[in-house]
Amino acid sequence: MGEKVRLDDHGWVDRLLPWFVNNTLDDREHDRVRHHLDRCDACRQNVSLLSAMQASVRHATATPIVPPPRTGRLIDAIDSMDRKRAHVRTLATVALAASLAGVLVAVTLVLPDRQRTPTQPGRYETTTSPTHRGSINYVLDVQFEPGIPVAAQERALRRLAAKEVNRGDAAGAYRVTVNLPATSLEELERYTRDLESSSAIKTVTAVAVQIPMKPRQ
Amino acid sequence: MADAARAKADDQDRREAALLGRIVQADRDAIAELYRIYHPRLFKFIFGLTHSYAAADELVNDIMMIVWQQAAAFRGDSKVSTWIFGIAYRQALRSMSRGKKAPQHARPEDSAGDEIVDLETQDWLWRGLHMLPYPQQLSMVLVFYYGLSYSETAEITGCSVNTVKTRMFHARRKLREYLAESARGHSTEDRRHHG
Repeated sequence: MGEKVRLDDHGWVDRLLPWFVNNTLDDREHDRVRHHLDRCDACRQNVSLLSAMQASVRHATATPIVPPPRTGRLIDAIDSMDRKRAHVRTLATVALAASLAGVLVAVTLVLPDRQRTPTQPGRYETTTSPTHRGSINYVLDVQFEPGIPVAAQERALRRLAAKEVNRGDAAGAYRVTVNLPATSLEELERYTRDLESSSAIKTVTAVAVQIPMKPRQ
Repeated sequence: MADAARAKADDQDRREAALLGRIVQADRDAIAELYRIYHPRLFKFIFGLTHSYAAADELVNDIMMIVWQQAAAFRGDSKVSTWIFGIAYRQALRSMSRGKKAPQHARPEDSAGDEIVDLETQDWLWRGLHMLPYPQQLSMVLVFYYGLSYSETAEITGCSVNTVKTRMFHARRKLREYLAESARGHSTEDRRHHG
């Protein structure tokens, strides 16, 4: 008993006292606390307090009579929750569908309507206007084979329904503008190849694309 | 013997983990079985924390609903029982903090008391316990009623072991202060009566 209390041990032991009292420390910890208690009055007092606390809690906390499990109530609650969730999911889906429908209506009705809003006099509409949708002018350089008579060249150009025909500098060379449905580059290439397949035409080269513009009335 | 008990506990834990796996797949038979396994233990546990029969009855249901909803969150880092009792602890704490189902603590019974302490001291301690913040109260109950080790207490309360030790340390300090104040008040009252 004449042994001095080690202060570092005191702090460590002090924090373990509740579990010394409820007897859940492992053997090594238990022995170390026990050994410390032999020499430390303060810790012994704390053990007394905690033991009293344990007794108080155990006396006051009477074991209740446990009712039988009510599995049906739990399953009903789960079913009810699932139904609510399904309902919320349905509502969310409907709300999403309604939102999408609203957006579609806006895109198909409101936006074109905005585009049809009369512009200022003297201004021009672009091909984004539905009235011009799908119509594009292609500018083609057409080179006829040598020796093709001019009359035959003009007949061939008329068959193209060219809107404009400009004679080039070289013999048998023309720059024509044809109005065709909007098409892909592949289709345009096919179109020029078809023209080149004629025995009178040597080459057809697409040199420009023009967006048709129409002055507003 | 200890090995056999441990093997049995491990086997039970595996069985319960398998039930949780089935619950993730929305298997109602699995939740019903887990509920039957845990109902008595959870009821006693909640009752021990809240001292309310009604709260225990209601909270056990709430806890199993949370198990149903969050079974996928169980990662197997702890035992299934620790995970479930952790949920129970948090539900009890929330319930007590809300004050909706405030614990109606019974005072210690006047039964044959512990030899260590007299009934009056027990009564003062019991009153003192309810002056503590809820986390400290619940830690006291977990340690002294359920006899949990510090690591088990830490797991269930979701705190570090150090936090649990500190919480118990502060609880003890406050109890000591409360007892000292009570003793002073008591002796003043005695003097008034006898003086």
